[in-house]
Amino acid sequence: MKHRSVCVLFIAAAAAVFAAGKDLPAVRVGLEELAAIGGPESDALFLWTGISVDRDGNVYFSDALDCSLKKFSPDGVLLKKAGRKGRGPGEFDKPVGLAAVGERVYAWDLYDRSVQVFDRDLAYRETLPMPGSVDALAVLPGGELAACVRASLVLTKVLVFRPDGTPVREFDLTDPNDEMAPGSISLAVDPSGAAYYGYLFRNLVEKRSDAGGRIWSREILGRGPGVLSNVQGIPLPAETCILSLARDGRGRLFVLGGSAAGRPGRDVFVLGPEGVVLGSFALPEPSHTVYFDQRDFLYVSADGGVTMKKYRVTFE
Amino acid sequence: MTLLPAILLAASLTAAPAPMRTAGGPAARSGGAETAAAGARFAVVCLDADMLACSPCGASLLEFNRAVPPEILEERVVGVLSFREDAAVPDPRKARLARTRWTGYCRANGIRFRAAVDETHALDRLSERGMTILLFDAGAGILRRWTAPFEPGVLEDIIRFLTDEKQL
Repeated sequence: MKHRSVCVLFIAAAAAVFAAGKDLPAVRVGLEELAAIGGPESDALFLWTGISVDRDGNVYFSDALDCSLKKFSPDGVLLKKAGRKGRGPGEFDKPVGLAAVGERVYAWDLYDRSVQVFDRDLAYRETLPMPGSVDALAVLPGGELAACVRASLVLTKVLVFRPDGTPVREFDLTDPNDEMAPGSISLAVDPSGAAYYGYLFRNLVEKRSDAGGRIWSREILGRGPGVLSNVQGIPLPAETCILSLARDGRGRLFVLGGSAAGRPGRDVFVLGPEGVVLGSFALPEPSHTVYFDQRDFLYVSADGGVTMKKYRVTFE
Repeated sequence: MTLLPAILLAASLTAAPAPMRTAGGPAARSGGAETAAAGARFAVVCLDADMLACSPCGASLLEFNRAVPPEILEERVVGVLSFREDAAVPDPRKARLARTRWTGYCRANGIRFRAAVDETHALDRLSERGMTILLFDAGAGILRRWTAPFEPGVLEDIIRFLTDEKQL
């Protein structure tokens, strides 16, 4: 991993606040770039989609352009690359996410109704069937896993299952009678088992109990998406709202705004556990995701997914 | 836009001993600059590097790469990669990123022809609506042009054209 000179950027929140049309308190957030993997002169990453960091600090990526999973050491050395284009075991068409959980790495493909399981050396182990294509997956406090799955264009469920794939329970996140397709859904879990959900095509962040009951919901952006067109009678939005969300170790929720935000892919809104918006800041470059490791380092993409950057986040 | 820039670019790709900066593909890796012999027919494949991850958009490219014999791909086909850039603020990183993406795409999909990044943006419009294939004759006059998705029989026509000097 290329270590960068320490460069602390203190970013006033005001611009993002005005752009979002919200009366948010001003916070100053420092982003100290610690390291990067990939880049235009490298062939390490081509279009990384998912990221996960294991307990030893190894960094795993799914890469949608070369149909692979990659494991890097904490200092950025490529340790293993697995997967190839295909539809068989250990193969991907467009891997869009992964999660390192204990000794296992769970990875999923765009539109595939399954999750593939690898060990920490990225050796293929098994495939777990899912009731829909997977958007997100996270581990719950008791060791069970929760996956957001899209059973149809409109209906999204949360499936809770054991590590061996045995289903435990499920609940609907969206109403099948909803008019607007929600798009892909981001997921973050807190220590109580409650989870936060962010919707790509809805100006909406929710917190729900482990059984699916809504604890709170909040609009983050100043406006929702307009309607672009209809597909099979379902209106599709013209803009993206919530690209990603992640929770840090202090319980703060970081929500990355899409094209409906003032600065698409850059505006990050910080919420408290009760849904209070604490403020916002802007990333130096557009990212498609935000992710925190166990040490509270922030990982984002740059260069359209060719680069990953790691930051220390500080609040004034 | 006229197709003159396309002709000039295609001619430079095939005639020059040291072509434009290329990325990926076996010919590029082996340093095979003398791929299309002077006088041969050849094809120029215009692609949008920012759309490589789009499965429906890439289907025609993969079909083309599968259908055309490898030796033809390596010797008579060149790609031209367009990429998006703010015209007011040219950024050299964008071209390098396009090359990097092409390298990754080639590795995963076994693409067998080389490609150059069009830093002039002369051919951007040819990939705006999807992959476009231009077929040239020995004199670099355009013979045919198709934009994906291809009608049935188009790939067969392309293969026939590239392999049979007498058929036009």
